Amino acid sequence: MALLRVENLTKRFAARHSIFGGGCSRTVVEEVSLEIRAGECLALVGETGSGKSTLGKCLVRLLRADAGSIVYDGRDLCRLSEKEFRPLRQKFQMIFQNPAQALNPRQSVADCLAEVMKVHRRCSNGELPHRVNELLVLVGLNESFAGRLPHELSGGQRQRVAIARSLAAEPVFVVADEPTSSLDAAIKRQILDLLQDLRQRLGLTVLLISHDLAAVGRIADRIAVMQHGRLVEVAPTESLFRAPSHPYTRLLLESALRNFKVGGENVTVIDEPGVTCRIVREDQVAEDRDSKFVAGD
Amino acid sequence: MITYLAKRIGISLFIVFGVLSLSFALIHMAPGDPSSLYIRPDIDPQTMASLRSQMGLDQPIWRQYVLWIQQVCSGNFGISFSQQRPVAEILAEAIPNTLQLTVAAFLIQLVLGTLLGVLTAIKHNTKLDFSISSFLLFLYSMPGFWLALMAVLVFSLKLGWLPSSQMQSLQIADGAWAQLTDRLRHLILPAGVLAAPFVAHTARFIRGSLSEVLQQDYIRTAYAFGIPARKVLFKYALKNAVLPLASLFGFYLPFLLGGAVITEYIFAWPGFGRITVNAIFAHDFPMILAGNFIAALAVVIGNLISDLVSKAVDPRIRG
Amino acid sequence: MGRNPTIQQSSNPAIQYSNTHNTPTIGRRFRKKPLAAAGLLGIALLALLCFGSDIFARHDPNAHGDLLTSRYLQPSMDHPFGTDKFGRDVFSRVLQGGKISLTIAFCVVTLAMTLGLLYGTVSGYFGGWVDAAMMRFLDFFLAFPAIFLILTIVAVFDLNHWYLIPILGLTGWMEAARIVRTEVLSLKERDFILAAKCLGFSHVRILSRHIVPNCLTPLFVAATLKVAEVVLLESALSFLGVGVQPPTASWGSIINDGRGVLLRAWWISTFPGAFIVWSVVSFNLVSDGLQQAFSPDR
Repeated sequence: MALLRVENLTKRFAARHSIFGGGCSRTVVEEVSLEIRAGECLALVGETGSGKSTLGKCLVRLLRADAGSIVYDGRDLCRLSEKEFRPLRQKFQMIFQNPAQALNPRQSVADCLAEVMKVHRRCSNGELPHRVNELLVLVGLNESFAGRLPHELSGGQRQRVAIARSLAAEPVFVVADEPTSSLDAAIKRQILDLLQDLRQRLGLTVLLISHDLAAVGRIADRIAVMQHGRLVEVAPTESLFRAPSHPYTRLLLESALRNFKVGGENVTVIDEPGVTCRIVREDQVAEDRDSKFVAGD
Repeated sequence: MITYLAKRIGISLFIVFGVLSLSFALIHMAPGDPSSLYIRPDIDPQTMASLRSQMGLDQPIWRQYVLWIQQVCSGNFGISFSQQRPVAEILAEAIPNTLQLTVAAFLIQLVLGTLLGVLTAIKHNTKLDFSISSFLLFLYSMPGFWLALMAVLVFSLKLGWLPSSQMQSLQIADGAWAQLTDRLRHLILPAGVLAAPFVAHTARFIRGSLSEVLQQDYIRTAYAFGIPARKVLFKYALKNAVLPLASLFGFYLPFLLGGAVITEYIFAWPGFGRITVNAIFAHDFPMILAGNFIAALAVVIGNLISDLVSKAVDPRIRG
Repeated sequence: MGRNPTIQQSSNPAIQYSNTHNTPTIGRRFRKKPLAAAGLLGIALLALLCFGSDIFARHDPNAHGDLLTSRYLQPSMDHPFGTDKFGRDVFSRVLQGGKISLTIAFCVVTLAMTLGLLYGTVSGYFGGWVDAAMMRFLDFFLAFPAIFLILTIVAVFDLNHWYLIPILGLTGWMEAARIVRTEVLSLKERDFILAAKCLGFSHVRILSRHIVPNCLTPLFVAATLKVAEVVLLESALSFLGVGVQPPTASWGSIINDGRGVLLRAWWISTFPGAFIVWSVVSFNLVSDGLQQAFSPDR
């Protein structure tokens, strides 16, 4: 059963340079259609700048899409006003890439978690400390952390607190935006395991955004591959690994297996002032890459 | 570049216009009939009435405002009623004197500030650095008027080395050379006092940026290549540390002018600042308004200069 | 920030973590700066002297002495800073003036920082055309050289010295607003603000609980710097005779009292000036120390 049905979702960013410079908009997410099934872990992979973070933010409505629809429970989220969306707000949560920035540096762990429950009136004030401890235990921490400030935590611990905070809102859908990319290798695995564990225990639906195909392959039910703002392939993990249908997916897989670093060095957006920005198509880049790999080997 | 300049000048004009309007509003918010501010009270009623209509004071306030702005735009600031002369004429006499003082102060701060800055940067964290830095701290923590009085007390009254006020001696010696030295002797104390906080500011600025530059890899590389230390310092490091200073004059201009108010007042230097202070004591409103206008103009021009210079000098923000 | 190798299983909460951590707190970093500590001590001593002037000053600051025998007395045990032309004890007047100068400075800074905080937060947080318009307005205020504006106001409305507080406050908030705005602009891009939005917190809550508390440190640095600036500005105005009016003493007005008799009674102008320098140096030292303690790269 589909939890969210995304149709033709498009997001553009205005990239105006000056009052006189004329408008130049960049389409970052282009006509994405996708079905997110209840209770699944869907991984969204693609290189840096492919628009996966933007798509994720649109799905939890941190950004408003310019066109298209997101249907949840029979209602199009894109068409709801701020006020109409408010009761649904807490059901859509996000976990961010850099845990160092994801927590308010002046707020203790307990205050951070309690604030969410207070705002949403999840429980009485008397129960708060108890609920905070429950949440901490749920994400693999314990009550000794309650009084600490973010700078007294390690990166992995911070990410756990950030996860606990989003859980405090009791969401149905969680977007995890590269939750491990700024963590050490050993911690990465733990955080992914934690997400998987929580998904199974709490019946969450998780969209896991990552550039690392190999890492998400372990826990994702399905994988969606994104390139230059478009969705190029969506398939169950196993079949995608066994028989990728799109050349870009093959490229990603290949580089993941060879331990190549994907993304970063290739600038694929051509920014010409005065005209709408053009995005170089996948084939060109793929050709580029292929020749590079040959040269690199 | 031209559109940028046009835009900046447009904004500047808008700001000056706003300052003028605010000054006008302030004066008209004052208790009492505004005409009493413009016209001396001891004039007979008939002359007063004709003067009022001549100055547009019998018009509604918005019309007065428009008229006044028109006058200001044509360079007519009205008649100073403490001196009974056109304000523009007084300003034309005073501003060159103020420029002499500010330019002298700027040069002093540039030379001394750079010198002390470089010295503290290359002797970073030594006793010399510490003592110069503490001296600079005291320098910019001193109220200018007190420093001026102390300088007068020591150098004029006790030691008798330098004159304590005015721009020139009462009996001027003949000859250009004698006049020049006389002017310079009168300039030293006020310009030095005016420059004092800026010396400290510049020196601290250079110390900060130079000691940062000296830590950079390209400087270490230059040393490693065996380029002589002096050459590294002056050719590579100082150039990059001093570049931001280029825009300093524009930035300092309004502050120099603000400082000049007090300095000129104490040293009886017949400049713009002293005139403004006297105008304030005399409730000479046309003069005060003109003073505000000049001050706003100085700020705006200063900002423009510093923007343009830093754009011209720093290749990274060009365009 | 090293990783903690004791975490092994996400579902195993029973592991005890050590509570030790090496991140030095701001307080600890601040205490390591001897100069800043000296500044703090300077402020404390000054405040003690001025606000305890009833204990330390042995003369009434406004009581005229015997005009024949106690005018222009040299500094002595009885009059540590000498006497002025009315035979008043300069030491008592300096302490009394300090009380007024410091009170004015403190109130002005509180007002200016509050205004700056509100203005900067709103401007930075809401961004867009609100921000653009507010910044233009701020530029306009910055273009008005404070001293001219203040002199104009004071000349137009003959005001007593308590009016200096709103006037100096209303002309001194721009720096703080800029600092706060810059801080807010960088804060609102941080993920925890995004997270707060995602959690459905209201703008008021996000501003008051998450943005404002994180702007306070740079604002505090700006405030200490501003105290020094206001002490200087107020003393200059009082020196010109448009600030604190006689017979009330303030540092600036006492210096003005001694201006005409520099050679005959140097002490009248010298000591209040030294007190100004003392206070300004102290506040500048504390500000420097705070700045270094707060900047993360130290």
